Amino acid sequence: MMEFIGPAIGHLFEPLNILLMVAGLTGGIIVGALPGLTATMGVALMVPATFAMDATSGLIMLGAIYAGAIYGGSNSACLICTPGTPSSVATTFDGWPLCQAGRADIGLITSLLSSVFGGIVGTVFLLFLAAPLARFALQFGGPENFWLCIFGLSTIAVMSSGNMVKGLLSGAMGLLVSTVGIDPNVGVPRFTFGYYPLVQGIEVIPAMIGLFSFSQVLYLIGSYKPFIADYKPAPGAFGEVVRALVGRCKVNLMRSSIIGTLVGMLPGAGGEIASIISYNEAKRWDKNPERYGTGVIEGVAASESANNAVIGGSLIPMLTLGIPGSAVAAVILGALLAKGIQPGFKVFTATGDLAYTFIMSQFAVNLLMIPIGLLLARIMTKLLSIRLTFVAIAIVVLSVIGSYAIRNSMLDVWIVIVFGFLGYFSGRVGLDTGAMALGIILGPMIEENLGKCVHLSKASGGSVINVFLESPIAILLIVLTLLSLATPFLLDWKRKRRDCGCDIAQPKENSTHA
Amino acid sequence: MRSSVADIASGLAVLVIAGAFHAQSGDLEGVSLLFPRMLIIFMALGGIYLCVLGLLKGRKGEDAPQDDEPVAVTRVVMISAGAIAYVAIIPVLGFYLASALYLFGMSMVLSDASGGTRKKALASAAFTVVLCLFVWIGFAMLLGVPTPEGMLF
Repeated sequence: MMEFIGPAIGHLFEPLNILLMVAGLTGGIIVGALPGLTATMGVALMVPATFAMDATSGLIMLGAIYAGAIYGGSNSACLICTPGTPSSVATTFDGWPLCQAGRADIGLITSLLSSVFGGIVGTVFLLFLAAPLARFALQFGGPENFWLCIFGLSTIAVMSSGNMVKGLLSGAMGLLVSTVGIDPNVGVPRFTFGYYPLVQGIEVIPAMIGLFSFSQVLYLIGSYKPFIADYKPAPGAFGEVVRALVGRCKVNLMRSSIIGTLVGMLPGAGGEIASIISYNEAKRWDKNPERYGTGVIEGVAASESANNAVIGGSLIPMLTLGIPGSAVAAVILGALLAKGIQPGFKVFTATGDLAYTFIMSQFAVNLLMIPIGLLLARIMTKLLSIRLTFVAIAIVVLSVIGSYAIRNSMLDVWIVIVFGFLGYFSGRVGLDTGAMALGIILGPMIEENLGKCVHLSKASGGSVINVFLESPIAILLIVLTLLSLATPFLLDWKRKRRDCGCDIAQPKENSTHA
Repeated sequence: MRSSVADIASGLAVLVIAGAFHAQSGDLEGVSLLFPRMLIIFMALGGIYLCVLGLLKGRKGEDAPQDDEPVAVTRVVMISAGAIAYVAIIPVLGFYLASALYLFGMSMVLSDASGGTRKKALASAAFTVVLCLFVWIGFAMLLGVPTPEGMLF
């Protein structure tokens, strides 16, 4: 390995590669920030451009777009409560309240630095632990993936601890909506309500745009505010965030980055699941979990470090086994194959120069992200000084083009409108749109893996329960799910005990005064 | 909105959605029905629970009004109707013409009237042109993202 590292670093200082990293990052951040335009789309759009370059430069640029787009999603999540990519759904939980409180710069800088940290941790894992982690990822089959999704879904219990019934029902509604279209197990069309185009199913991204973006437009237009939020750049915001991240958030950042890397390795499980699980864990381990959702740095840090760590994780099985861990990794794999490079363990020996240059470029890209991200964040905060009416109308137009671009289908545009109304109504009556989004994201994976377990049990002649419980990883995930479900009750118990302690302390204090 | 009304409304919404999906599940069987049926049953029970909870709260007088912000209902209705009309006319007029009409119309209707109609019309026209150009250059020219085409344009 060491014989490749030196030349790899040398390649990174070539002017063309520096230019490609800067251009890729800038383009990626802009694509990620626009609702509807995903990292997959950004990378896929640029694949043809790489055919004119040598393989190393092409890969460097695609990696830069990937990292930039995943981070870029947090900008719109913080500024207009619209996750630019599904990975940033959990960023809205605390990023948007920070913006509403006039502290948009804190949210943006936290998301930037956390993304950089997560990206670097993911790359460290890719560099040093690729082989053992790839073997671990291979142990995930139907039952393990099913329980991983259920674990992700258990987040609802923590997320909606204020009204768990409504949270669970919102999650169930999201899951039910995700069953529209062709059944993933036997290929039967379902729940089309007599409207044939619904056979295509409800695509996640238009549903997210509707739930978070169009419903937010209705909410903002319905408020009497002239601007989205008051914003005055606070001097010393960067230092404040650095101190918070290095101080009280360091364990949270490391835990979230490791979760992101591990989830990223699993095919099908992406940044959206990683960020939600990390957010949940951050809240669960915090001494004051009730602060989450009100605009705390920890919430943004957990979500953003996890979704950028997914990048390194998803590249592990792609480079070592030729199995992509995410849709973007699949596109990058396609670009590799088009260049005649066969992924597998040999990629680190036969084409070690290329593999290690690509890995080292991920370090460089993450470091370059700090100045480029800060510059773009400063430009994007100008959005807050435009009158709300214009911003809201523009969001509708951008939502339309973003949703149409996914499948070139007007159905997706109508999905935005319908889910926008659903999200707005849900907000008014206390249903949880975050839980609903989680259901829509996890639904297809849960059902597909449930189907696999049923088929496995039929094939083996045993019961489904045996299939669910036969592996140690599945049992570990079940235990984690139970712990997650018990968390709201534990927190409630802790709070009552603390309140009780105060009540007992109060009379003592009074009696002393007396 | 009072919490009892919110509970009943959310319960009814959940029941309506569960009912609609149940009505559509007639021909399904086996693995295709397993997962949706579990969800429909859960939602039906949850929906009934919320309705009963809301009714009990109302009866016991525990339905304190939630501290909601005031809502400009007319503006919400106008942008909702505008958005529906906009999406409906895209297949006829094409994306750019429909967007231009929507942007200009909505900014005229929703902007505050200070400064007079002429100033408002100028601001709306400038906003429409700038945004359409941004979308055309950014999406169509640079990224090559397709836009919906209409029958006329």
